[in-house]
Amino acid sequence: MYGDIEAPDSSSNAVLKTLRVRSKRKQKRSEPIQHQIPPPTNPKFYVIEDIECFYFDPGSLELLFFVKWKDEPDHMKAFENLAQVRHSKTFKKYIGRLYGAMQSEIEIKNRRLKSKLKEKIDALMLEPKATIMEKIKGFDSDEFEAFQAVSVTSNPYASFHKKYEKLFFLHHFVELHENQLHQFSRKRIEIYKLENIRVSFSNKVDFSSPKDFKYVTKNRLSTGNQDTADDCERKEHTSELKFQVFRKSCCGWGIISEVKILKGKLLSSAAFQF
Amino acid sequence: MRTNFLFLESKIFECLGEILSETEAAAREDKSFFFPIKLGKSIQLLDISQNQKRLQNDSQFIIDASNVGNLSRFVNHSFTPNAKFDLSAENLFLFAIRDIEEGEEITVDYTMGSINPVRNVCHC
Repeated sequence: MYGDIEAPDSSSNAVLKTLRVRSKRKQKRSEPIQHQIPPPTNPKFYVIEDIECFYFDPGSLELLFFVKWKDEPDHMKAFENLAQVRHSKTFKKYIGRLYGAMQSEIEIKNRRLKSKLKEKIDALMLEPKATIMEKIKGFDSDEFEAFQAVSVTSNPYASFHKKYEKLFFLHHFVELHENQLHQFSRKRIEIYKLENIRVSFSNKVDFSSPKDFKYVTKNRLSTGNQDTADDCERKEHTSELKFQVFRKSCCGWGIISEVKILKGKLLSSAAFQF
Repeated sequence: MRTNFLFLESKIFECLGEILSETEAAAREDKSFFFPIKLGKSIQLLDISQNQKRLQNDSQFIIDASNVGNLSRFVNHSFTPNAKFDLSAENLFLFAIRDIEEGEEITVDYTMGSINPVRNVCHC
């Protein structure tokens, strides 16, 4: 394996000799690689000036956008995929413009699609939430928006409509998930603002949120339906309190303490009127 | 006189909601978040001047947490609870009756004590 290299023995000279030979070989091998690396150059950034049209590529099932690059001649115009244009403001404007021009048609199409996919949606809703979340893992909202914006334009490819149908189907669940997170976040902030209690919400069972209720820090009398400032007076608790409201698989919602609560430990002091 | 009050048991949070008289409660359809409270004579009533008299005359009133409330509305039933609802002065509080570990669900026994929430008892 080592060719003319002597097998290392216990003497230090032999070991040093072996290392020197190995080191030389390493250098030799690395030399040509170093020459292959091109000298560093300043990368050139291209800015999208305009998107002129789009094209659905039935091979890759991707939408391609015909891009005019800023300060570049016309012959540099090219079809680019979503990955190349998605962060551009010009692209977002282009999609917005397409959507705006066909909004009512798109809404009608989506309504039809929703009723067409109802059975499929209902069937997936019966699956565990983890299964649904796994399905929507790779969902790309930019791609959905782009497909939606061009969904009512005449497109000869059946694969285009099939792809949009798939994206629309997944989007339904993404929307449910996002709405749920929004509800949780709203309630979490409301409670923190009013009581200085850190509460998180968790639902691994389905896409529901706790029934909406007005969070109060004082009891309210049944006769007073209108909100009063007193109901929502901010209460100061110690920051030790931390809870998680969670969806139970069998029934409703429950509450977990995320910190240890000791019997006999005063968590909050309150003022009483005698 | 206002003063701080120390409990032997740990107070977790106050049970809040809409205060209903028995008559008002009977008219409500959804009773799943009812916390009926029977008052002892020595306990002074709520510090809400306008309705104090009416509530003092009632032998029982109900806290309904379905539309307005706080975290106490999420407390479930267990036959081996780690907390209980109890009156302290004029307020209904949730107390820890033993150490509650991190990640442990807070539960009360709906079937025990003087204050029993009229909620469906889940045996799961």
